[in-house]
Amino acid sequence: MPDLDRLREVGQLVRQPAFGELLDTRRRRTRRTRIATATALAVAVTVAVTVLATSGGDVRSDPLPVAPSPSPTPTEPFEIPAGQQTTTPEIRPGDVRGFAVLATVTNSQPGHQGDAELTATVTSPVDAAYFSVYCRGPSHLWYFWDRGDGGGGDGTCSPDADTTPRVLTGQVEGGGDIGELAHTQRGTESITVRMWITRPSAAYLRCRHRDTEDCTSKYGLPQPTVSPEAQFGFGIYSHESPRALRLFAGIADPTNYSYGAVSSIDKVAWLLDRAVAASPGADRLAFELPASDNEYLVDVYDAFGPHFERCVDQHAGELPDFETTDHNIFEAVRDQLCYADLQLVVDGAPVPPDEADTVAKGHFSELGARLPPGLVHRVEVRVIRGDPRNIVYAVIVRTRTELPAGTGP
Amino acid sequence: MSYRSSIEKPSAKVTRVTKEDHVREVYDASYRRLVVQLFALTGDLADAEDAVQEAFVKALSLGRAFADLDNREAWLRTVALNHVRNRWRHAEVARRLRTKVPGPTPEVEVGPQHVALVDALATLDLAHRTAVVLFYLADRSVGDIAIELGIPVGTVKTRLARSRELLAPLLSGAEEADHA
Repeated sequence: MPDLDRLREVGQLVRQPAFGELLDTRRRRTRRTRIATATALAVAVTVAVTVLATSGGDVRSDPLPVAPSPSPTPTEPFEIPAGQQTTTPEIRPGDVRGFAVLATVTNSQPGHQGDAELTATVTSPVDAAYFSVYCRGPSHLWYFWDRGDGGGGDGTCSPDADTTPRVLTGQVEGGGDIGELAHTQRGTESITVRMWITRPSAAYLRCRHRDTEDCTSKYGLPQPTVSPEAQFGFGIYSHESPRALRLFAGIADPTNYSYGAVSSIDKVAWLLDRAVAASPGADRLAFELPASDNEYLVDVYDAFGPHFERCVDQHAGELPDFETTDHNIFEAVRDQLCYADLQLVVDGAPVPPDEADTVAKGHFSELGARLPPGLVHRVEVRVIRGDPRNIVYAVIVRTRTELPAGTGP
Repeated sequence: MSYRSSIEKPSAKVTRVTKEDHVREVYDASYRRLVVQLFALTGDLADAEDAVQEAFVKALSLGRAFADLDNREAWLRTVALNHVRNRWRHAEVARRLRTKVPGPTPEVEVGPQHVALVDALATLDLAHRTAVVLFYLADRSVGDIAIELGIPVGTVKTRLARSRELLAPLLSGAEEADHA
């Protein structure tokens, strides 16, 4: 049906928005808090050099906790606002769990020796599967794998590859880490993973090297090749985090504010400890964390409050036309009128927000910090601009923990 | 299935790539193509643009997991289609509260020949229309479509054959009209 080809012309009519516009949309959705001026936040945060020295981690994998600066003085008055609510997570036995191993298939297992292709079918909770693959062998050998849902991958074998399947890639959350949100999908799905070793043709490899076209369409998928030199295999895993805590019940979308008992950042696991939600309309939230043997992680979350929509209605005449105004301008005006800005203060020192990759900084939200063990900490969130009634906000506190080993066959 | 190396390539330099770079790469290459496919599926160009942009925003939120996907375009297409299916019904409230994607370009006017094609596609149910769009506009093989939709190859072939039967008079009619 060549007629349909004419629809491709429509693609040339469409103006593709600048990529920065999408980045901005993402940023604005994930970060509802903005600070009025950068200078107001240019407060030095003293880093715990000793913690870095003892942890041995680099900045990305093991970010520095925020050290108290200045040190809290227990005798200083620290007012706890009336009406704020502390919630303890409901963590049942088994909720803090490692990855479940659904299948491990290698060509060193009895029955698979000499195979050029391995397959396994498992039943996994929907959207909860993780995969790993490996191939030890000469680098002219390639491996391909697919997981039957449009995903998969390929690569060259390596003479020094680890021959133990490990959790490497996440289907839902990144990089084998456990996301903070609870697993809300129900039901199970059947997943078939297929992995094979191959020697792609020279033409295919040249095509891949050019990287300008779909080589599989042009040359076909490289087919399995028996190679006694290759040790290869894969693992299939699953991880589910039942909901242990929910913020802003009845106000915000529960799927965005339901949290699992345990989550991880760069393989460092964090256990939910508590959530402290500001009293409706309050311009400040404050609480004290007792000294702990474990590091704390605190993150600030906020959402539109019940009054926000009313505020937007009240200011409808001041808003630009939605349909014809650039969305950045529309939302900036809307938020200036009706949203509020928050500031996280730990032990008396404001914590600068992280606008970029917050997970790389070691916390989940843009207003977040890791607090060193062995000290009492005072945590505050202040509304520094706007009407507090227009938002709801809370702090989730987590403590560092060890993830239990996985289970499986 | 398009096997693009997301893990390693021979002779490839190891460089640090941000998660945004992974999305940007696909955005540059696939945005317009995906809009056309969604347009063919939904029949509404503005909805198609919104849905595809939503899919890319979601890809940005996915972080490193997006880089690990081998068939990123298929993933984006699925997310965009799901977005169309699950659009928020309370549109007015959504408009005020939700941070909007950049949105459609108001100056785009689709020609009558394109409208006729989309109208013809709209006579198919979504299952058949999806198979047609994946085969003829996304250039997916029958096997790839079977994998992407999770259905047997035979079912894909049946849907394509049935769709061709249904579309033939509509599309040939359009051709005759053009020739006349």
